[in-house]
Amino acid sequence: MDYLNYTLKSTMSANEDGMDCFPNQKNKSNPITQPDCTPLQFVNYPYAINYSYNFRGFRDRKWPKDLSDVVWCLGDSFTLGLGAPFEHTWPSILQSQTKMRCINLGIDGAANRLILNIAKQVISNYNPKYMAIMWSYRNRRYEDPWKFIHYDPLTTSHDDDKEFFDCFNSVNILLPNIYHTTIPFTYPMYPSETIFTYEQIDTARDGFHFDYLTAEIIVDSIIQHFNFKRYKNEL
Amino acid sequence: MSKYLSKLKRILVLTPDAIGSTYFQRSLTVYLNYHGYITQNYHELANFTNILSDLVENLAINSNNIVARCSPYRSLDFDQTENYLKFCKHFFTNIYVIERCSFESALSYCNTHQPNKERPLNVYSKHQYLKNKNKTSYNITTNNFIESLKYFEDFYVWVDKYFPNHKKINYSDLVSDPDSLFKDEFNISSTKELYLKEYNKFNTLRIRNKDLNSYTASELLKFIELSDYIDFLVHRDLLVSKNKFPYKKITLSEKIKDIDNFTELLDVYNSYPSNHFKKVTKDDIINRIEQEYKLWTI
Repeated sequence: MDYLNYTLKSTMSANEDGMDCFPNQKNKSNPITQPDCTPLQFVNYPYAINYSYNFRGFRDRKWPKDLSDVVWCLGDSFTLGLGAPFEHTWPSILQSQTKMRCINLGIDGAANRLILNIAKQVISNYNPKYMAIMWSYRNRRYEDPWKFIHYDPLTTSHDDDKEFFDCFNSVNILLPNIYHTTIPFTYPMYPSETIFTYEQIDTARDGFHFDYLTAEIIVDSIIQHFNFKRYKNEL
Repeated sequence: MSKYLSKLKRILVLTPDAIGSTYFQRSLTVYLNYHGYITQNYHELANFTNILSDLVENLAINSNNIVARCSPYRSLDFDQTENYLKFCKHFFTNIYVIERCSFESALSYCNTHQPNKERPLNVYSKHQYLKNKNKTSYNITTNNFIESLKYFEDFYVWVDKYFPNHKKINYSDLVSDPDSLFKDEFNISSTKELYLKEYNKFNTLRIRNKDLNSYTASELLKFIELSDYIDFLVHRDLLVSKNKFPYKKITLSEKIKDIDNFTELLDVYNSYPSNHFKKVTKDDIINRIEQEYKLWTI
């Protein structure tokens, strides 16, 4: 399975996911509950949002030929930047603040096991210097690589912990010095010295995912973690 | 505010007609696109749909800057007029009213709505101008004129009620130097020049069959390029109307020639009780004609 050619993803628009679309159009059968997505927030969101994917199926531009000095950014819809402009995603902000090419490998709905498999392939194929992972929900699962079960009702919290630690430890064995963080409001018990935790301080157009202010907090901690040089960013 | 992206500009002009709102919309759309801000002109929102939910959905997912107009009489076309106006008030980031002398607007309005002889609101070609030009002078009845003054007064009351957050744009600033007006109003830092003012003046002369020999080849080339650019915006659906760019239809001095009872109407206007109309003296009229002559050289 080639996890870096997620072309199936490119056939699925954000709207079909039911997460960032006009509220009246939401797919009622989607098992994910959207807490605060009001029409007013969606309508008044002041920035232009386009979803464009590269030929590999990731929300990013074409990869450069030289991948030796890039930052690989892995995660789920919070990394993909659902509900936000591409320029407000944390990999994009990291790129604009460090001038290093940051490759967005966020996949909408990704489970931790899928993130692990992507990380394994990146490590195997590209011998990366820098990798930043934003882990997803602990109770999210998938049956086959692209068929997601967002929440598996049969799993216990013990199963969830075991699944997560298995993924987390597996990737750390393969590559030291990975930067780890999580999506907001999950892993409250996890030790902060190994996984960066933060508070979500803004929401994107869908009223659920975070926007650039929260992303900047994450980017600050990544810059600190890798000791990257920071460039001033002004519009 | 984001350091990574500019906020979308959602611009609404409120209009009763006959105050230059079409020129404002079209020239602003051309200006913003030309300076790199992809902008779509919807023109009258009620032309697009009369169902509020459809309008909201369409505008909300539009990732371009938006320029549109809203008028009291067309807002009645919507299924939920009050909600439509509330939506406009909240959705649009910049809401404008063009501040034009209501005396001149009322004269223009009466010309457009002459009994048994309706004229187009704007002209978009020389042929259209010549076809609709007043061939003979005419009289505007006092009753008709007072009706139109009431129409404009009602408009300003409507604006204050539904859009207290609007900003005024001076009509003479708009026609005399739109490039500078837009540059200042929207903080455009680009140094590219568009020559909207010269283009407007050229077309005003051209449709009136005036002498254009004073224009140099390079100036004419600029106008051709601008005209091509406007066609390109139409092709890209950024200018939604087939009527692309309005030309100056009637100047004040032409109104004086056309309207037999001009002086009588000026008296009617000045004695009309209004909180929104500024008095106009005969000296004001003379000054405006002089300014107009300097601008259009007609």
